[in-house]
Amino acid sequence: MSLNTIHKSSGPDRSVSAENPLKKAQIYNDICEYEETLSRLVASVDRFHPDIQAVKDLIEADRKLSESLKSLPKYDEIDARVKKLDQEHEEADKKTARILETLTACHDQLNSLPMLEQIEFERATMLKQREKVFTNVLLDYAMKLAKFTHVPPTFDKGTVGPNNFVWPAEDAMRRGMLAIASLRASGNDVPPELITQDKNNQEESGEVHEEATAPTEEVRLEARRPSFEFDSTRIKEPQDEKHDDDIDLDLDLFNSEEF
Amino acid sequence: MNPQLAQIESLLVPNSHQSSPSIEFIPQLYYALHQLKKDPNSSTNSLDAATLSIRHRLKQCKAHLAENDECRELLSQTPAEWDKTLTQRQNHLDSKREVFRALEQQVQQL
Repeated sequence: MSLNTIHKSSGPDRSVSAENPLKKAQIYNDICEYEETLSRLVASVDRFHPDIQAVKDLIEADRKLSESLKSLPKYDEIDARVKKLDQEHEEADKKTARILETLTACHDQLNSLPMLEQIEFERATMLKQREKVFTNVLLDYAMKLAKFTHVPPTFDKGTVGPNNFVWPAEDAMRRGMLAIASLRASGNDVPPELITQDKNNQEESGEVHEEATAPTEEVRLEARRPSFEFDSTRIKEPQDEKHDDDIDLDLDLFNSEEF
Repeated sequence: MNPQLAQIESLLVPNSHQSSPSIEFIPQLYYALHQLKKDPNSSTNSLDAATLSIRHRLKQCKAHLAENDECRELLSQTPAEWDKTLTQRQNHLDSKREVFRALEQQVQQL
């Protein structure tokens, strides 16, 4: 009931009125007083000693009860206001509950989204990754450029010695395992003395490398197996073609589809 | 009018549009006293019997107030006290509405 809720939410008088709210109702007290006075008057009349004071008290009680009854329209108006306020409070509470539910849903939705700091960090990381140039990309681009460019005419080859390269020198590669393997793969026609001689040359290469002169280098080149040359005028023998097929390393760097 | 209050009023206040109109207490008592004074030795004339209906209506009204919680709660405070209570409730409601308006402005500013 609306009045119950109002009474529960009222101030410090709540406990007192909850104990005996009938005692607080003025009209109830007036009715009780009316009953008592009337009983006193009836008793005095029945004893043939009418109590004039009882009559006066009864008139006064009747006046009080009439006053209380006149306030009933006020109570009716109060009741209407209470019901209206109850309805408005109920609507406000429903609205509050609806707003809180919406805010809770929005809060959960916002919490499910990534934080701004995290997004900025990921964006900065991606931009840093884009700024880097990977080695394979750089080498691919260099290989493309190398097909159509030459050494600059002002470049002095003598300034860059073999010791400055990060890769082994050509003669070192010729004396390496790869060269020996290629010699063995080329066939059995290579005389073993040539291999032993080659080995001897490798042992002597440390000394010869520094003391190398033009005549001795020529003699050694004659003794060694000739280097592989991309000579188009050379007449290839069937055995040589087979050998070429075996060592085809797919070094054709030019890809016409890329241009 | 509130049905509870209307019933109390119908028990205590004379109402002309009722089928059996009630009689005010004082005239009824005056008439009973007059009959008793006119024939004091009559066995049928008794003030106790004459005021029986009055006391019955008063008891009915008291029983109604005791049984009806809503009516009892409504009449437990004076109109002045009710004014204070309703003013507080109205202020409470206004504060709620003010919170709604503030929240609406904050949401619009987002």
